[in-house]
Amino acid sequence: MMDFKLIAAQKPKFVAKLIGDELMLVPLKKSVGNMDEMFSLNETAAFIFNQIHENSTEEEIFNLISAEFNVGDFDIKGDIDQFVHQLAEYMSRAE
Amino acid sequence: MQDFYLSVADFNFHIQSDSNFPMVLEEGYESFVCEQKTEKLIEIQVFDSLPEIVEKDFTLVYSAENLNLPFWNIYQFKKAYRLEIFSQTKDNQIQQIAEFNLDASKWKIYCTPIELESEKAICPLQYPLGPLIWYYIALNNNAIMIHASGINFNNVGRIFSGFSGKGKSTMAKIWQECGAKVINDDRILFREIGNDFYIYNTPMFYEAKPKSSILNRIYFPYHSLENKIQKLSKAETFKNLYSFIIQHGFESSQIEKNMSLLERISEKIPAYQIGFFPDEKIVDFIQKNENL
Repeated sequence: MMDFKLIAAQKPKFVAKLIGDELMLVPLKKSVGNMDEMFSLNETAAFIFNQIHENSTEEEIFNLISAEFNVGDFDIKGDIDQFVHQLAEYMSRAE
Repeated sequence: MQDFYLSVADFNFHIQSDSNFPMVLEEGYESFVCEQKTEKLIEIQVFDSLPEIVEKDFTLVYSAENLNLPFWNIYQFKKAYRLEIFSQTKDNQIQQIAEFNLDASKWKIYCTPIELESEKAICPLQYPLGPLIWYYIALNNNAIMIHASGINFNNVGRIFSGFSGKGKSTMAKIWQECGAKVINDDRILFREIGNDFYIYNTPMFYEAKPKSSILNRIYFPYHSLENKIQKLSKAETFKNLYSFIIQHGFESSQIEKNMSLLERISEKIPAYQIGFFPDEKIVDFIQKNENL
């Protein structure tokens, strides 16, 4: 999936810090820009972010989430797709 | 040899030069000149010509523009940084070059003489180099600069942080009319010293005496038809503060330092969103409601 590859490639261009129970992502910049472009992730989103690597697949991420969190019978694949797409869109804006 | 001492936010500077041109400061600095200091001096050596530039020795790590013109560049060398400041009146002409070590405790400033009415002089801290020096010193000393007004009223220090138009200057004016000391109405440097946080003004383009206060409360104001207050969580405080700090984030270690400092502030200092109607009632409203 292209979004996973993009997120993995862009990770070094961000600083991540856990504040309270949210993971804050901040882009490194090489010129003046919107330094207030912060993306905050809740516990589940932070878990997904930390698991993503270059060769991640939707199935792998889904299985990891199912093992970590009690998702019951809920269909969360759509939610994961949507979040990963939003994250990739945000991270693609970093230089 | 000519020299003088400067104290900005309780950081002490010793500025000296062997130049035959007199050293001058912009208007806003005069009140920050102080008697000789001996403790924890930041040494600044000033030269009256620009050094030969050997670009290959340095790596460009950050560029700032002002109205599409080059403003300043930051280069990194093995154990030093170099700032090139560009004139905003003469195209692409370098105004100053400053080199400093990794902890920003030793500086060399190279500048060419400027024409004054009666003589030529060197102005080592000419804008924007002064604020850039405070920035790098802050970065290395648990301090940070932020878009905020700061006041002290009855020994309680408060900042009102936000971008232009959100009411930080208006709020400072209202508190001043009620008897508060205004630290600054636009830009504040805050420092962590021991277990406390302190706010300071820094030299501006106008004359103002050095001022400081302990920091007890943080507010993020916005205009509203009625006064309303909402206490923020640690994460919300952090996100708001991060939006308004002054930061040139080209290196992850620098961003991490700032994030760690903001995390400690967010942990220790109560913070609020404050919707306010601009009259003196907001002063009472805040004092009655801020300990929610």
